[in-house]
Amino acid sequence: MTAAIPKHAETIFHMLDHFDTLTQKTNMSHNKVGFSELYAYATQGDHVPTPVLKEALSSNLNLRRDLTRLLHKQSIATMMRAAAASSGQIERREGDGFVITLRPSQADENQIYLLIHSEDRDDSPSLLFVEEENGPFHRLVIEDFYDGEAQILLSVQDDIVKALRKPKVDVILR
Amino acid sequence: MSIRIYIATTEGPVEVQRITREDPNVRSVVCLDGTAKALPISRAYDSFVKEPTGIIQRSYLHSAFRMDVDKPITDGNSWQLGAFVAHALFQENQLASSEDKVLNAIWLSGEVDRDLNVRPVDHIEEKLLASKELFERLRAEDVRVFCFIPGGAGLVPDDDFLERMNIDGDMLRLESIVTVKRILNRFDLEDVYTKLEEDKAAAAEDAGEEEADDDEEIDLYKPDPNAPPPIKDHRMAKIIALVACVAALLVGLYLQFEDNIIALRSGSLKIGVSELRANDDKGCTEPNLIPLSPNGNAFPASPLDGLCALEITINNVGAPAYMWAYAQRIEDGHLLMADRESLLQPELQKGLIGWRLILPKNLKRSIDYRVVALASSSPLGDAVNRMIRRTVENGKPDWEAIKAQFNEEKITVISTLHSLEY
Repeated sequence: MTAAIPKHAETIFHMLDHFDTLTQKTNMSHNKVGFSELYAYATQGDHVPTPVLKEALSSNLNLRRDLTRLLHKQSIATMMRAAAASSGQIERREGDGFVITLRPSQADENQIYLLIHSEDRDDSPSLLFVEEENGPFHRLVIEDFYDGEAQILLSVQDDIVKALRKPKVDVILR
Repeated sequence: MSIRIYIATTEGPVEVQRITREDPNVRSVVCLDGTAKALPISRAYDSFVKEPTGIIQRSYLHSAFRMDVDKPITDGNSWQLGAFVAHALFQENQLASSEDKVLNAIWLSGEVDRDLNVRPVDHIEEKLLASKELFERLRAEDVRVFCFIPGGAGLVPDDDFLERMNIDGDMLRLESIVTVKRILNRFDLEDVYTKLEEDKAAAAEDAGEEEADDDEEIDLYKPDPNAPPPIKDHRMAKIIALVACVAALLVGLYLQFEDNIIALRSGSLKIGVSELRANDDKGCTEPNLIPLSPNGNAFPASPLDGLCALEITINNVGAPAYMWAYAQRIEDGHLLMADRESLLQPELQKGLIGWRLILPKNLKRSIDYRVVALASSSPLGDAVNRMIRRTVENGKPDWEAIKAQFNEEKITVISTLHSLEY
């Protein structure tokens, strides 16, 4: 045997080991997230997601699918992605009797108001989810929905604001 | 020069950092220190701003604002007085931002109703104590602080507390008020609502005056519009003689006339003292008003038991005059009440003017005091200073001598005595 062959074998071994570790970690993290935790995350405004859940939702496609199915069953309103012809940033979405609007703050250009308005519904949503295409879920607690309206002041750099402005996202109110 | 606003809370003073007009399509919001963190009182603030419930939009013609404060305000409504005055200053471009250097600051606690009356709130003493450090810092920085709290029985801290807080009436002042208009007048601020109300009242008064002209008593200061035109004579000698005669006559008349005015005013100026006694059912929240009848130069003593406040009035039934009044403890010359408004905005007044003297709830000693009222055809600023100096500096002032001296200066002085009995 030449000296090069053991070196290649060692490299391949290390790479396979890394791959196994990565696969194991993903499976483990999914296994660690129980249904009750996912359910609480999807339905309860006061639930604080654990780091494990956050990581799992960002890396595990199966878990995201589970959450999507759960949210669609539990939702008050869904606003599916904007028409394919849409271009640029989206500042207003409508669906199932709710309207979501983004309005820049006149006091601070780095801040923006997210307005959630109910047009003909009595329901009061307490959570807003934004699912990006092939991307992570964003979740926002709606603390003060009253008189058919909620207003939340956010930073324009907030991930959920950036996501809401993209045409190809699904928005779910729970 | 801009003015800084502090909203009093039991956790300490909260500085209003800025107010910004927002898009009318959003709700008004209170944010923490310029961040996107909306405080829990935002919903209440929105109701306080936006009509029909709100009064800020009515006064300042905009429906959505953002107010930034440096510390959280958690609940209650006592922030309303501070928020209203902050808006009044913002409207006049006088609200200090955090970076501004100021000479004056206003510290407030109170709820405001639709008529701009200031309603009572709790924990005034705790709020003052929680702001002690701020007051000391501002004093060191030579910033004058005006504290405004609601008027009402039991709301004004007692003298000992005020002394402990170093409220000296100069660099740190405390005033109980019943209406926001008092602050607006003091700092020369306007709001559309008050202005409209005043215009309406003035129009109504004008209409009333025109109707009542025939019944009015003779006003010595007013020229008679029905008087015949002066006689015109072109002969020079007659004119010179006539002018000389008229001049002599006028000098004589003037001397007589001034004496008459003083005498007339002295008789037409009356001091009134009324007790506000606790109602059997509603205590001091809706007290019974009991006017006292004067006995010579004094009013009968008022027992402190059940006494919520005193109402002191001056009634000028004669010609309009510049008027001023104060109440002074005889023992040490301490001013219990002084009409600052008439000094800052002197104007000829007629009819009844009055002040309410809220008694500290823990008052446990008798007090003898003197009420003094001044009236003159000229503004009284200088005379007031001299009067206070003479009554404070000289131990037991000789009232007859003071009255005589001011009388010579064509200033009417009347005074009366009253006691609170423990």
